[in-house]
Amino acid sequence: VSESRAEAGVGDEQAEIALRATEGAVAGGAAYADARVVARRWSVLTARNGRLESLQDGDDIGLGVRALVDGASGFAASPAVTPGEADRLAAVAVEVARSSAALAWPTRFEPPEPREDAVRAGRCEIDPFAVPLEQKLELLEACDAAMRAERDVNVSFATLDFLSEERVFVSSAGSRLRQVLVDSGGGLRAIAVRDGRMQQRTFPHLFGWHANRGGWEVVEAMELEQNAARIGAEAAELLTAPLCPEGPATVVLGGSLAAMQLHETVAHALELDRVLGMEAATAGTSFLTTDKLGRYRLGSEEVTVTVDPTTPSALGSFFFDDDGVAARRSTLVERGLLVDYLSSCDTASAIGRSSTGCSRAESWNRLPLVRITAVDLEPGERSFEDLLGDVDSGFLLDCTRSWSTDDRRVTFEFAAEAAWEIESGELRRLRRGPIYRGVTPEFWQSCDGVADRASWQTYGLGRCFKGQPGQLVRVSHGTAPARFQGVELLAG
Amino acid sequence: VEAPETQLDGLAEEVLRRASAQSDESELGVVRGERALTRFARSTIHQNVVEQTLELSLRVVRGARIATVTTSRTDGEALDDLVERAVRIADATPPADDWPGVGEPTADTIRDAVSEATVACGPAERARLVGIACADLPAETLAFGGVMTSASEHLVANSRGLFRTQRRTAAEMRVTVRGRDRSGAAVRVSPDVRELDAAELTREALAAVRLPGDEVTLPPGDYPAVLSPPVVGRMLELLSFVGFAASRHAEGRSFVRLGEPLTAPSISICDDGHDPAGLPVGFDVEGTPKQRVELVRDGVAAGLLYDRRSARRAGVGSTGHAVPPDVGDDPHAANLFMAAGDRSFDELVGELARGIWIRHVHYVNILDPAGATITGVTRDGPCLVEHGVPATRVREMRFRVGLVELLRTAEAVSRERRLLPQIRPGSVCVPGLRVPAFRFEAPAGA
Repeated sequence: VSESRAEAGVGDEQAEIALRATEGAVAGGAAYADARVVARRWSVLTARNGRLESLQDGDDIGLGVRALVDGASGFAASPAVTPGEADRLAAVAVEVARSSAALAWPTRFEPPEPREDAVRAGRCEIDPFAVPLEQKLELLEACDAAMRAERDVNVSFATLDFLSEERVFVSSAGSRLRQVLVDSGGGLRAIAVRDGRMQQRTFPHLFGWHANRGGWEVVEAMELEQNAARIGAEAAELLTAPLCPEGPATVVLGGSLAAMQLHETVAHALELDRVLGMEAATAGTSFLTTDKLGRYRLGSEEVTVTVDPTTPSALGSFFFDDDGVAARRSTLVERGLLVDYLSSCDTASAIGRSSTGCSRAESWNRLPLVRITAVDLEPGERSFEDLLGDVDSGFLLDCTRSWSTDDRRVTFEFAAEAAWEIESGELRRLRRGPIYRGVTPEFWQSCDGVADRASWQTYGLGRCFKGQPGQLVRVSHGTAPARFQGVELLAG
Repeated sequence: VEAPETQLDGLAEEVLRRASAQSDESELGVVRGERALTRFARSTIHQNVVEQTLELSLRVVRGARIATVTTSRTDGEALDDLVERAVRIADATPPADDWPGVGEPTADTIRDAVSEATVACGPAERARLVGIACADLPAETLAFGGVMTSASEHLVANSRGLFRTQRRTAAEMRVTVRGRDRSGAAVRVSPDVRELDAAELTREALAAVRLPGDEVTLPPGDYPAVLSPPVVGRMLELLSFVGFAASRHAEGRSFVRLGEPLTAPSISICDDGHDPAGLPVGFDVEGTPKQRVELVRDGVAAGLLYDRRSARRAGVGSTGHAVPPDVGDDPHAANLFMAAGDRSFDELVGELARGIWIRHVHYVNILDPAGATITGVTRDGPCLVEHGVPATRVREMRFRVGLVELLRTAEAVSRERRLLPQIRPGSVCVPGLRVPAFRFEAPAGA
């Protein structure tokens, strides 16, 4: 069984309908309008304990229209992409905007220079929807068996996940854009249970999930089957491993844990809508207030953070964002100094800057928000082995088990799945239950090394949640293992 | 929900007719609805959205080989494609030896759970509520939050003749009031938008803002504590997630030992999709009518949640708690209730000689599912209570507590309950609690 991803496309007629919606909104009184038609096709397979637990195969298509009227914004969306529905949505978006006018946030939306692009297609060497289902099931079965070869692993999950998305963007400012992106990935979870104790190992990281932009070749590169046996054995070993000691310690975060640390304490804190208070009632605000821009030292000289949605394989990459801004690389933290935010056209103009191109909507049915896209911790100059080699006594922590921050992202606590003692530069015994906590700027200022590009890779997060109604957006972080001094290490 | 039921009837009949010709069993789920939301920040509206949704989910069974496919498209070509895709995928999957079959029709009557006021609520009414929430705020304070309404129609039909529909509505409002160095918050959910009292929500949020004096930082340690309903609600949601799904229980991943004491005797917990005090849900995505499941009865672990597959494995009937795979791997309690107690909420606080009143929590996550141990931070107005009186604002704190231990030692339960939204789909209706020891680990925020 194999299929073509071409089934999930947006036709020229539907692109014209999007244009009609923007024209309708402008005719109705909007100073600016844009519209998105998004068609998605997905397939998610999950094996649990040796059985195919679920196989989600789906598609959807819809139209979303945004209108700005007298400084107020309105948004309306529908799964019906028809001329009549476009007219209705345009009228609703304008009406909704008008209803806000008396209390409206003073939106200054400065659209980008209009562009007309031909179809821009992301990297995809092997169409994942054309790979036979039987082949995918065989891989899941093999992974599951490898994890459960360990006697104490009595719960196992193996997942494959594919998404194809075509997005057409048109605006009353004159932009006509179209992009096709394909994601492929999967992951593993091995859970060992014995005598009321439970230990989990995941691969490659959080939730046992990872994806990159690309086709089946992404799955092949993950070496799922080879890693299944390893994490099964580690989960079982953790059941009897000694508890991680507590106290200040030198800690090396593995790449995936560094990615989550970056995600929660830096990337979210850099979202300009959050900084401006737009998420205060739900996800919270940020300690990186605008008065700190250009003068606040968030991290050490080792810490440079960029946003780069032009990275071809990164899950957070794209050709244009949902304001129609072309993807581009920006530096956010320059050798520890805060120099820019993740922003959209309206939030950037609120502080007199240009958008960094981070306006993203989950799909056709959601209003674009400032989102993490592809936010990276730039690699350092020393090898991973060198970073470990300097450590007389410390711990290497791997894979996120739990994570939590306060509502300004200034303090945090993370738990890792596993810790390995580092003695005289060598990895030694496995320890269970590591937890660490800290104050975000103090923690990043204690960073005295990020490993070099040889161990730098991108980690995809499939369910970054934000906003109301909640939007789950796919994002990514490029990171390498990073070393921190004087970390408050706990256990539990 | 504008479209009349007959349109969904016809759509279901059309899909099942096409699917039945090529399968041994088939089952269709349809969700159609409209959701609207007005969000505000700094006492101004910054988001205003209306979204219509439609999703068809078709499951076909061919000789114990099963596939489920979904689409938002309803034209004839799309329906043909839906069925053809399902059949093709089913034939490539291995037979499911634990497939319980699609649900049988029963005589259950499912009533709509609809407020016509919520259906009719438009952007002007939402803006009016926002205006009330933002009016008459003290100097140097601003309001943040949102008003959400949704109206949806749910249908499950299958080749055995099961056919169920239900219309549902929900309305939710949250208000956070922030001053220079302080904040308070309140949230409500109801099927009826008229139950959202914007002025009352703002008053509740302001109560935390108006606490006198400077903030104090408490040393880490165990503190007697009163937990407001939003705190209890979040904890109950997590407790249910890690403990009450039959599938997790069967895998040895749950702390629940049926028939054994689990919490204080004053605590009873159930999931009930039909209780009008919640957001009623008549049936699950498999069409099984929601059963009222007593999870904890007078402190004793009493029940688990099943979908059709976990029920088949256990040799029992489904309790109607199936969810789609994108919501979770296990049966889910979407209508949680904790029974009311015998104290007023004011008495919970008034009887506290010295301790902490925690109104809200933030970013709570599970540290150890085996013991239901969680961590998170307090938010929006924790305060120190002395001699039964809220005395001083307390700096936010990171906590780590074992939920089972917390509920086992609960001293008092309030009569008043609040209906609150879950983070996952559903609602939770809970009282306030007083506990003798709530573990603060470290200061949070700044």
